[in-house]
Amino acid sequence: MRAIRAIAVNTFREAVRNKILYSLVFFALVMMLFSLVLDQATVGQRNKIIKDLGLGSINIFGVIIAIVVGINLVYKEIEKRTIYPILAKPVRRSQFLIGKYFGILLTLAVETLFMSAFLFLLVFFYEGVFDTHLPLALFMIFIELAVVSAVAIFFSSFSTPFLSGMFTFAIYVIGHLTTYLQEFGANSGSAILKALTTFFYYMLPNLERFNLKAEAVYQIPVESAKIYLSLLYAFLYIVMVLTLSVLSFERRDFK
Amino acid sequence: MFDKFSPKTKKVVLIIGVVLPLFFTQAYLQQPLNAYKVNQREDFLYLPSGDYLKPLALGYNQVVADLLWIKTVHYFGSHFTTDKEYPWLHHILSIIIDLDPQFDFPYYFGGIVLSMEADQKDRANDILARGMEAYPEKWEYPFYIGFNHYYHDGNPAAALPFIEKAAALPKVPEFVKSLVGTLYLETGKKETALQFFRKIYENTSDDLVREKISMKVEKILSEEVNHDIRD
Amino acid sequence: MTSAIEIKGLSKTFRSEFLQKEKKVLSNLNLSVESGTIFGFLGPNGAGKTTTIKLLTGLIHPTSGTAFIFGKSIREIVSREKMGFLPERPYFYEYLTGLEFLNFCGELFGLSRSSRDKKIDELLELVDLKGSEKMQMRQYSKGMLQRIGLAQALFNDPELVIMDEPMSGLDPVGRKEVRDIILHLKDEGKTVFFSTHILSDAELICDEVAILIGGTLRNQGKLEDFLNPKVKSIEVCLRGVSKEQLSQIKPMLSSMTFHDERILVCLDREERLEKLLAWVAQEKAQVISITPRKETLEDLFLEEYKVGVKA
Ligand SMILES: Nc1ncnc2c1ncn2[C@@H]1O[C@H](COP(=O)(O)OP(=O)(O)OP(=O)(O)O)[C@@H](O)[C@H]1O
Ligand SMILES: [Mg+2]
Repeated sequence: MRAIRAIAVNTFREAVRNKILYSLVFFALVMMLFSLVLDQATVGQRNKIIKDLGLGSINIFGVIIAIVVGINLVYKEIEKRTIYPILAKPVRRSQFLIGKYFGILLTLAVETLFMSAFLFLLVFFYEGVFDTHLPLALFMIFIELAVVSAVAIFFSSFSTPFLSGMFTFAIYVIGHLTTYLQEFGANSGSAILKALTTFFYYMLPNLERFNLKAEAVYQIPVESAKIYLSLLYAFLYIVMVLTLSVLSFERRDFK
Repeated sequence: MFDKFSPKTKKVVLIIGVVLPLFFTQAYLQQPLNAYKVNQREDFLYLPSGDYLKPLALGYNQVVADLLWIKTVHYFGSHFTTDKEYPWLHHILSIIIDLDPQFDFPYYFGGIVLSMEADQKDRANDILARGMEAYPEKWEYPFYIGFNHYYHDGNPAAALPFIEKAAALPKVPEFVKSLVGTLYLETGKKETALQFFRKIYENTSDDLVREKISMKVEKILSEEVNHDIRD
Repeated sequence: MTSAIEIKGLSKTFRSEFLQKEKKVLSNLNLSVESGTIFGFLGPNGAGKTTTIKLLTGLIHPTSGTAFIFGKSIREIVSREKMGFLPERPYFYEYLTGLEFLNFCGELFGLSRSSRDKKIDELLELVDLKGSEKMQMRQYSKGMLQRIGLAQALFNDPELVIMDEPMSGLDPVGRKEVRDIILHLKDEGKTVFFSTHILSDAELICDEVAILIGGTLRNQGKLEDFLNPKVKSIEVCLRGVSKEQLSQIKPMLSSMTFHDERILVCLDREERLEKLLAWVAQEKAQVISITPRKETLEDLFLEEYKVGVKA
């Protein structure tokens, strides 16, 4: 347990000392500020653009950070041989991988919190009240990031960063479309297409489950049972993906 | 302790004991989660208009348009089988058009579905008008607009300029041309109608068309005679 | 008493990623390292030393065979509890300071803050890195990386320390310091297993050596049994004799080399020295030096290497 914590904290430290993270966060903040300009240009519902773009930026930059950090995490350790002294100690490979995962979660949590605080301030500055609908959507964005980074770790447990990045991004995109794809496949009349889309539907993460941005912007109440189910779903999916990652990571020879 | 097993045993145990149960449970969870229907309305309302989306598409306008197109078809399908209400169809179609004006299917889809199925004739015509901008050489778009005016509103006067426009475009089928004549008649421009039919008659070598037109012209003329007699 | 390391029929075949071409790097290695010894693992480049060490530390998996560390199979995580490992050309998180890194290692072992601090202080002293511990490791020199590597390997007071080329890339002072640390570990009753191709270093400190060539073990034994303790040859440096004079006793000499008026002759049997000296006195020449040459690890190594290449 101590080992996992040490690895997680060290992973966080590495991410925090990396300049890429800051530039991404900086971009996200710029996007949010840009929404102020756009808001001036729209007629009708004010603040909508600020919240839209704010939630959108936090989400997409979070995904980029999750992927960029996630795919490099394991690979860099092997490439630079920094993993050698760790695994030669009584530290399991599974502990290493899980520590890495918690490290990236910690990084994403801090980053999401930071950007959320910024968004809150912007909205507060505009509306004069604290928006109580935003936190749930932001929390679910974090859950989505947790799923995406588990997928990134899975790919990087056996593949190069480039390929892992491609795969993870593809899964991120398809993960938002699985419901449509499944219906499309079911209605297409082609048995192969149907089988394929059904397979995707159950195998890939259904990331739309964590998308509560519209609910936040339009202040639509969300059933708490839905939230709990989604959280359970995310948890099971993450554990499954991490177990698979550990399985492939255990087998590996470090060159 | 677990280390004492061979790596292979460990793997099998983990897959059967952990991965598979997790897989089936998470797959099963899709069902109760589906019970919470995503509200389509808000889902689309969330989309900013095409003008805002365009810079955000980062140049992947076509890809974003394609993704939205998949969403549109899904939206249409799910409402077609349920409430037959399509409040957001026009909104999302116009975003797709903003993003990718050369993507021609949304024009047909919007033009026909919005007017016939969704009963939103003006919105249909708006989509079609944008189709005319993007593809000025296609006869279908002005034809559909005219068609919408004529059949939906029973307004031949509004339909006429569009059908006329369609009839003048390349590859237009003959029936559109004769429809122009019919519209002239219906708007009371009998002389123009006759002239128009005569022109088609002279320009075509198709015997069937000639026969039909001569029948039409005869009918018009006889009606005229009857008219005169009655007067 | 159980051996510190017991290797049984260890083999490793690498498979290249694309063509699936197989490459046998280690075949049927059997080796036993008694605890309390300094064991030198020798072999030319590409012999499979690093591969063996990676197998022992669990970084790669054997194709067949197994090994035990103090009786615990290398497959079990507990086999690494009494082990310390210094990798080849060590490289550590460059964004950490030496201090942070050692602290991290202590955390991996689950040590409390106070015991970590105490141990770190002790280790920094031992590897002589006091004063550089607050520097980021990206600024460390090769020698400093080797030292911090040594420090992290010793964090858990291991009974067995495995080092891959601990002296490579170090200057003579650095090498001496590493040798001293190894000897110090032996004094504490620890076992040290290290690979090297710097033979003189091995010769100076090893109790036992093994020679690995082309993935097969060529020789293993106590250094003193290993090297012929008898004098192998004697070199005598003479002055004041001419070539012509020397040619009288030519059959006695195994070689002659001329440097201006000095002549270096080589005898391959000890008893010939007396005769030579008598002859020198008779010819009124001068003896400048007499150097007996014993067999070195290098000779043995080269010999094994020749056989290995032929085989
Ligand atoms: N991951 C790998 N894939 C394929 N071949 C490998 C791999 N690792 C090592 N080898 C090959 O195995 C052989 C032994 O390598 P190893 O690193 O064990 O040698 P070594 O004795 O440590 O050599 P050196 O003294 O140069 O460090 C080499 O021929 C090397 O090319
Ligand atoms: Mg080596």
